[in-house]
Amino acid sequence: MTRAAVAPIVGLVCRLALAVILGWAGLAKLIEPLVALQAVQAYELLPESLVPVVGYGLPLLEVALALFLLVGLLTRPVAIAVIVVMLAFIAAVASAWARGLSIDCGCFGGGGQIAPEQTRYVEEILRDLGFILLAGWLVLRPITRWSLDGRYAADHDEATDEGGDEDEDGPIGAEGTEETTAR
Amino acid sequence: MSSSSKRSGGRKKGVGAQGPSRRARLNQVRAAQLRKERERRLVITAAIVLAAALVIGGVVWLVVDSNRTKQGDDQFPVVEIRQDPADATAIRFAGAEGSDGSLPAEVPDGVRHVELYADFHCPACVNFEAGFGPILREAESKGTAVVDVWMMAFIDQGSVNAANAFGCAASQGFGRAYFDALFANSSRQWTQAQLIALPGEIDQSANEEFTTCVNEGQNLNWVTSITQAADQRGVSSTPTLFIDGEEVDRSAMTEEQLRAMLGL
Repeated sequence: MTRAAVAPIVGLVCRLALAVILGWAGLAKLIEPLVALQAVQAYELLPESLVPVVGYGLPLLEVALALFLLVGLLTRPVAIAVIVVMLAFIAAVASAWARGLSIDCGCFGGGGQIAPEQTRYVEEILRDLGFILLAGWLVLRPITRWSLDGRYAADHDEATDEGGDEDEDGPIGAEGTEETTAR
Repeated sequence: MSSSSKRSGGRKKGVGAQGPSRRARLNQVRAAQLRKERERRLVITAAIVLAAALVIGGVVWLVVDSNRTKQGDDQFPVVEIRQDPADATAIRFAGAEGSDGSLPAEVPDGVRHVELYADFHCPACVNFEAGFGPILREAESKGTAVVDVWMMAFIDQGSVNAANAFGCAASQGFGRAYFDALFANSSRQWTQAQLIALPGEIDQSANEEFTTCVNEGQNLNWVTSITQAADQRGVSSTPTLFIDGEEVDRSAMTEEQLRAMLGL
């Protein structure tokens, strides 16, 4: 297998893994919205009036991003959004840590105040960094196997050559056509 | 990417060599590309619109839904909710005499004035009460501090019900005991029935006045006005503690420090 053939598969794995992680995180919070509100409140970062907006909006945003990743649409912008969200999570957890709060991050439901010895700030931050790596791959190589992006990017090749199955790794379209017509 | 272009270019050269059908073939390709491009734009636009509707609509729906129950469609008879911060008053635990009043008097000179903003369902408040509550009570009973509590209600319907019922209990003269019992049993949901049963558990009688007050949400205006007043004062999280008007940083506060601040 060539590198060009492996990359879209690695991308597929990153994309689906992130979709499952974000979907799980979002749905776990939506099942218990009041717990999600308490989790947001426990960070003591937001005025009470904004707590419901973030408490309800964040899980919905996570689910929306997960759906985009699942179908592989707008992969690069979505992956960038995931990185921004993860950086915000890391900042929030780090700030809670620095201020001496003892809270659960509430990343996958739950959350709120816990005993100081139960805090897992380092793990929570490392985990988010791992997610950033997955998203980073997708920013660099957004065209993945079995994705809508791939379907549209590979469009030109599917139309011109029969049975080509290695063509999902880049927007080949326009330049190729011009080259041909000029000849 | 460049290697791909070369590859497809090479293939097309072969196609061209077939002769007359080459132009038709290219037109077909171009038409197919245009179709795909239109489809792509449509799919992306539809997906973005749907996602925005999901997130924005979801937040609005959840917020409206929680406000609706807060205003008590199911829980309370319909009452007009005013949110005038001017209506907000703290409940003062008068201390040594053990009496409770909802109308604060002057704080005597040399006595610390403690103000606590809390929510009966906020986990941090529950922890605060468990750790520091006894110290506040000791200061109250020794007369070194006067404690005012501002009961906010933003976590859930139980917070609202409990804050309302706490107001009812204070008017009946057992506010402090009721306050402690609410925090000691914070894992309960705080339905009206639970709130009406609670005085029985702390040797207080839930008279008819109290029961009506809880069931009808007679203090709802007061509860919402406190949340408003807290916003105006810049209280952005609970619990928030003020001593003599100064906000106390409780992030690293020890029990000894609080005792010292309260003259114990």
